Amino acid sequence: MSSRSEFGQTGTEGSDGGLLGGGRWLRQTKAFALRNLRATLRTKATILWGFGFPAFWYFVTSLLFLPDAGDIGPGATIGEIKGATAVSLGLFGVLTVTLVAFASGLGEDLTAKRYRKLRSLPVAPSADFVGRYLAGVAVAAVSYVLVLLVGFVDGAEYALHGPGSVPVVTVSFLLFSLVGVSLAVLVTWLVEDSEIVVGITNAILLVSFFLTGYNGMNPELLPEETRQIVNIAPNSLASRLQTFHLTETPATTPTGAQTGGVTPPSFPVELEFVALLAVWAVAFGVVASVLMDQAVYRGEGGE
Amino acid sequence: MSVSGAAVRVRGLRKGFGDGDVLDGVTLEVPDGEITLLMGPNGVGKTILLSCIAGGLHPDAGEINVFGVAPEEANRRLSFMLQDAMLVDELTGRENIAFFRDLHPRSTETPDDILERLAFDTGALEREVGDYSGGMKRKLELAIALSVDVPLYLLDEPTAALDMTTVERVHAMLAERRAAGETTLVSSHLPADADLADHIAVVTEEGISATGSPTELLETVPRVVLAEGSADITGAVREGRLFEGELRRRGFLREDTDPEAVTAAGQGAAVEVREPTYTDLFNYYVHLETPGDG
Repeated sequence: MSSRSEFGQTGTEGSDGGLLGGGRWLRQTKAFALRNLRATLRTKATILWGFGFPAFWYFVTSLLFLPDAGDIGPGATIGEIKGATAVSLGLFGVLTVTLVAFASGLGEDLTAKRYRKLRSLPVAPSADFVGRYLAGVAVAAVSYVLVLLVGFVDGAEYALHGPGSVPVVTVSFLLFSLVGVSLAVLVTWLVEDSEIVVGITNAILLVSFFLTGYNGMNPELLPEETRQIVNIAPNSLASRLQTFHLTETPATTPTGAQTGGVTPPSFPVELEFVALLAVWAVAFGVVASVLMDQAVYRGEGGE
Repeated sequence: MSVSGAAVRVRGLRKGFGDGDVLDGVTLEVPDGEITLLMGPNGVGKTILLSCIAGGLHPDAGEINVFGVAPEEANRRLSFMLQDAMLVDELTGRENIAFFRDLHPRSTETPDDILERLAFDTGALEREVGDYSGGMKRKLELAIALSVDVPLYLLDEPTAALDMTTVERVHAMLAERRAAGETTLVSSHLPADADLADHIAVVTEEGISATGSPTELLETVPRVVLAEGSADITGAVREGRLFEGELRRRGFLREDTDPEAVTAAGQGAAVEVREPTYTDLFNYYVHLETPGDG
C-alpha cells in the first residue's frame, strides 16, 4: 500500500518526457515496442498485406513480367534484374508495414479510446512514438528480408557495391521506415477512424509506387521532364539507393530490357542523396513527434 | 457536499463532444481516504467525468484539482481503470499486464494475487485477451489498475459483468485499501455497489442530483409502494410514476398519503409499503429528483 506522507510531500510532477529518467524512458519505449510488435505480428491483415502481398507480387512479376534470360542485352543478367526487382518490391513491403500497419495500429488505439487511459499515465509521448517506430522497423525488416529471400530462391543475385554499402543500406532502411511511420502518424491524426486510415494509407502506398515509376525502378515510365523525381521522392530514392548498394547495378529492368533502364537519371550514389533521405526522415519525424505530443497526448487524439 | 480533506475537487466542469455537452457544470468533492460512488444510469457521463479527473480528457470549462494540482501533474499519484479501453485483444493477459506495468513508476508485482482473489484462473493469462469473456476482461483491467501503489484509484464500473460473489470480493479489496488510507472514486450503475461506499454522488443527465452518505441519502428517499397483479397504485405514488420490476410494480409514496390506506385499498391484491432500498434510491434520484428540483 502507498505511503500517504510520501505522496503528500511530492511536488509538482510533469507528465512530459523531460522529467523522466532515461531508464524509465527506455522501459516505456520497450513497452510500446513489444506491445506493437506482438499485436502487429498477430494481426492477419499484417501477415497478408505486409508479408504475403510483397512476396506474392514479386513472384507474379518474376513469372509474368521479367524477360527471359535470352532476351536480355549484354549489360545485365536475369539474376541482377531479379535482384533489383526484389529490392524494389521489398521496399514496397517496408512502406506497407511502416505506413499501413502502423497507421492501422495507432488508429485502432485512438478509435478504441485507449488514449484516455494512456494520457492518465506518466508516459513520455516520445517513448510511445519511438516504441512504435522500433516495432515498425522490426516488422518491416522481416517483410523486406522475406522478399529478398523469395527473390534469392527465384535466382535473384545480390552483391554489396562496396565497403560503404552496409551502413548506407542500413541507414537508408531506417530513415525510410521513419518516413513511413511518421506519415502514418500524420494520416492517422488527420483521419482518426481506423478503417478509413487503412484505405487512405493503402492509396498513398500505391499512388506513390506508380507515380515514381515502380519505386524508381522504371523511370522511363514517367514524362522525361519529371524523371528526376525518382531521386527525390523518399520511396523511390530509398529504393534506388538500396538497389545500387545491394545489387550489381542492372543495366536493364523488366520494362527496360526493351526500352531503356533504371537510368537516366543516374543512380543516387553520392552521400548527398543519403542526406536528402535524412532530411525527409527528420522533417516527417519532427512533424510526427510534435503531433504525438501536442495532438495525441496534450490534446485529445481519438475524441 | 463540501469536504475539508478532499482528494479530488471538481468545480463547474463542462465537457462536450461536438453534439452537445455530456457534462454541464458538474461540481464534486471526493473525500480523502474514503470510497465515493458515482451512481447513475448508462450514458450520463460517469466515464467522461472519471476520464477528466484522471487527465485522460481535458475539460472545456471548469476546474479539476487532484491532491491540489491539475490532473496532468498528479498522474503518478493515481491509477485509472477504464472499462473496455485498456486491453489489446491480440496480446495475452500477461503481455497486457507487462505493458501497463512498464508505464507507471508505482507499478507493483501483485496482479496475480489480485486476480486469484477475484477467482480468475491465472493460467488464462497465457491466452490472448480476445478470447476472454467480459467478466475476465473486467477482472484483468481491475487487477492492472489496483496493482499500482498510489493514493487515488479511479475505477470505471469495475463490477460490471461480474457475478455477485466476485462483486463482494471487489468490495472487500476496496475496503482494505480504504483501511490503508487510500481514496477510491468508483462509478457504477449497480445499486449493490452502494454497500461499499462512504459517499454517493448520483449522476444524471442533468448533473449530480444528490450527494451524501448512503444512510443520509436513504433517509431522504420516500417509502416505497409495491403492488402485484391488478392493483392500481398510480394515485398513491409521486408523479404517478411506476417502476416495473420482475414481479411487482413500485413507486414512491406521495407525501400526503397514508400508507395503511394504500395497503387497505389493495382489495385483495398484494400491495405493500416498505422502506426504500438502494435500488429505490437509484430510481428516486435518477428519475424523480433532479438537480433543478432543489
